[in-house]
Amino acid sequence: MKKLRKPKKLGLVLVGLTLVVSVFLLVILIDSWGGITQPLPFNHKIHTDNGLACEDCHPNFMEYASSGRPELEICASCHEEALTESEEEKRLMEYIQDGNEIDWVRLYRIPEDVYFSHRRHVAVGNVECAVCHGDIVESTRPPSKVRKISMEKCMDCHEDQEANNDCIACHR
Amino acid sequence: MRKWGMVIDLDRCTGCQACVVACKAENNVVFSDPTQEETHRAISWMSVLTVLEGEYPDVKESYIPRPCMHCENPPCVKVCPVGATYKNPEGIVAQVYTRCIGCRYCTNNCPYTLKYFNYYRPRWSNEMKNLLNPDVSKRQVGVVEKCSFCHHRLQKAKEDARFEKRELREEDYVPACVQTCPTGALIFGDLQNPKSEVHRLSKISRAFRLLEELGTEPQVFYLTEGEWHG
Repeated sequence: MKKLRKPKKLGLVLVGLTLVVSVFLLVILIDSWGGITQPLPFNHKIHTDNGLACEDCHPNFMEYASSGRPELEICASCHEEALTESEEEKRLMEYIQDGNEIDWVRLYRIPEDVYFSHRRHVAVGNVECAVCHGDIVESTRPPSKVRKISMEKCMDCHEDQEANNDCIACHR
Repeated sequence: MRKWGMVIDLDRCTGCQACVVACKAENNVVFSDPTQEETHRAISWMSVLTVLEGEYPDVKESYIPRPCMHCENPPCVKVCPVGATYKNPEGIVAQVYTRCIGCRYCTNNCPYTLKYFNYYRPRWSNEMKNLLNPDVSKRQVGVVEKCSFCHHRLQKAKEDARFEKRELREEDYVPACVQTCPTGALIFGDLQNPKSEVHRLSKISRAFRLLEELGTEPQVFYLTEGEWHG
């Protein structure tokens, strides 16, 4: 009897183990979903250390809803000639020589039903960039994932700042 | 706090439907086909009803433009089980589309039948796709929608005023239908402000409201000479 039972138990353990491993792999797969690869591994820190401010590359946030991703012209205004010998800059120089816009991938995605205005927050509400964008100025490599901002975070901040927390103030 | 409201002078309305078109374009309201119209499933946040009096050739035609009444005591809000529709502090009856579960209690409870259910998946022609207003969402199938008094325009007007470090002026905020009306039959403003035109007009003897006896207290007032026979 004992001899007959053994393979059954082993089978169960194996099935269990396979399940655990597959769930683990699935979680990793789902987590890496929506991963972002930027066309160039932009280093925020090196640029801010050299005295660049946010608005030098993202020029619209004081006036428009969208802050804007930097156009090639902005890069080219400093990188007329290669400033370093880094591989990344070589690739940038290729973009500039070919005149091809760099297709930067958006990091923050706002749901379709939400209206968000940078001007309203930055120019009118005097919110610092870091409140939502964290320590991105300190990053040496671009984040690999879409950053999510929860409604809870928005509402908490609105409450603290005594801003409008009416639903239709944000949900259009 | 302001209380936004509208006055519609029926004696000035020529039934041109400009307000209807302006509203559709401003608020990404889907186009309806004749079948939808026949089955009362067409969506039109602003609709102009035609009232005919008399027999041909002695016919008198009158028109009545109907946006959401933004009732002070809105029956639609009372029945919403999920809080998707509510009265906001400035008097606008708001609809949060992502919160709406499409139960249609509100559409049934609106005595003015001015709430619209999306029976169909919204479809846009290629020409229209590039002309949609980015400040207003595209509603999905299965949710209720309604006139918002072009609330997004109020948001923009407030933002502009704060950016320019000044108070919001009443004329900064005008819904699309009011802006487009060629005869000036639609007037919009703050009903709370004793100096405003809408406040004054809402108190004159020509003013009345639709289905006043229900106690919904609409914030849309109508003006006409004599009795309204609609």
